[in-house]
Amino acid sequence: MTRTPVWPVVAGVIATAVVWELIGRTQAFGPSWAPLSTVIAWAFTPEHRGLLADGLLQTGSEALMGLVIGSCAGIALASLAVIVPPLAPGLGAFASLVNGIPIIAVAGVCVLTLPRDATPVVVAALAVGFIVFVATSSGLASPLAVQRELFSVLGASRLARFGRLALPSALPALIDGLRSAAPSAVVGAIIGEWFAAERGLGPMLVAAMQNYAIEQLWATALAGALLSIAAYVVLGALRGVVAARFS
Amino acid sequence: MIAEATRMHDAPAVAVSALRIDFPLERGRSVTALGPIDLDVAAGSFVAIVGPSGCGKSTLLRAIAGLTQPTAGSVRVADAAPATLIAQHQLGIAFQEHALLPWLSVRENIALPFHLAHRSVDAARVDELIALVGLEEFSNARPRQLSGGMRQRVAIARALVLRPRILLLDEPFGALDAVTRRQLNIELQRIWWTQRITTILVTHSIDEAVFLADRVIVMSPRPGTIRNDVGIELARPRGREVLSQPAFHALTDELARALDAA
Repeated sequence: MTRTPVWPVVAGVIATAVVWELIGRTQAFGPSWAPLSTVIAWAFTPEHRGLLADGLLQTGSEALMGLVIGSCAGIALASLAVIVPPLAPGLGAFASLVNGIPIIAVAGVCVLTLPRDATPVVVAALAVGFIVFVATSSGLASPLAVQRELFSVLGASRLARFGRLALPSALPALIDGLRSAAPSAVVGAIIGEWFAAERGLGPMLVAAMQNYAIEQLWATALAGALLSIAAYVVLGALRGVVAARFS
Repeated sequence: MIAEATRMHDAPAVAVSALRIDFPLERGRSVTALGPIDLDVAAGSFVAIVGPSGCGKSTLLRAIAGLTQPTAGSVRVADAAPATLIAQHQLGIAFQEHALLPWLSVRENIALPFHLAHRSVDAARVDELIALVGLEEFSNARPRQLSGGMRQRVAIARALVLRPRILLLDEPFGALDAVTRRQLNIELQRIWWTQRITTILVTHSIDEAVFLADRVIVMSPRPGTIRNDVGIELARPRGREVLSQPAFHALTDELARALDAA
């Protein structure tokens, strides 16, 4: 397996940081673009550090719960479509329909119908579910024709085909789906918080905009982005392990 | 001779009668890929099927394996429909592609048919087959760590592990180099001699067919029908030396001519 070299990533991060800093310093895009150094300085003052850590923990745990719930739902629906084939077109249409509802509208409805603190988790789960559903469906369809035929000739039951062939074959694609879905879980949680919550990165963003707290706005956005990237990297490592074992 | 005589009175292990298989084309048209075919395979015998590319020999094997449905005629395996034998887990098959599961070890791949048959794994039987195909040192290796020839050995061990009534081999060595292929032919002959399972082999190689089989069926081009049916009277067990005997060459020459005429 070839590993992606590290240096382009490092170079990209440095380039982004330098461009960010320069635009902020020169005020090329106006005074509301804070230089990176100012944002970091803000983030690391003791009182702000606690605030950000609290927001990250809150949003992170909501995103994680949403990722778990949404993934379970996506995997369950995709599996059901394989185990009970007549349901497949209906389940696919249902998943597309749910995915077609704008996430903002979903959040609005959740606020009206669910307990306040459930909204971020539910919105994150909905953002995740479809991605994992699609990834799992394509993974479950990945066994080779000759492997399916072998199972046919050996008289495998439908459940054995699923458990011993389709599901293990699907694992790399499934973890890929989780990795792609993780940033959506973070965004979903923040949008959910935006509507209802009192803690987390979402309310911090709202407060920063209302108070024209430029540094807080940038620092919070940066924290959210880092959370997404961290989830993506962790699941990417997991994917490497699973792909080596299952393909 | 007595064994031969009793065998004659047994019902054939495989009975194909008036089999025809059409494949659908676009706009409701269809093309006849195979047939009509009549073929009886005696229990305990090894039959090889050779023929030009596209003659439908693999289709014939797939019909016997229950993977393709006849358009007309019938296929009976051990006096039942292929589906019945499949439900009883009594068919063994190996393809040109090994179809091993990459996440399982050699041992686990060979044990797979026990799981699919809802039987407890007979570890002694699995060990016996690992030894039979000479992979003792690789029993815990994964398919990706094996050579092409080793993978096909695992696939054959997997096909044999449940002691099937019928063993179906669809070009199992078709993707291997000539040296490995010859080696595996010699091994398959030895393995078959210890198991004596009724076997049908589809192959492009006349040498392979003559070396392994009791009977070689030569098929015509599409739609495939049986052109020749040649008994191979070489003594068993057959070792490497058979490959250089005049009788072996006479048979391969005869079959090559029959195939050219086909």
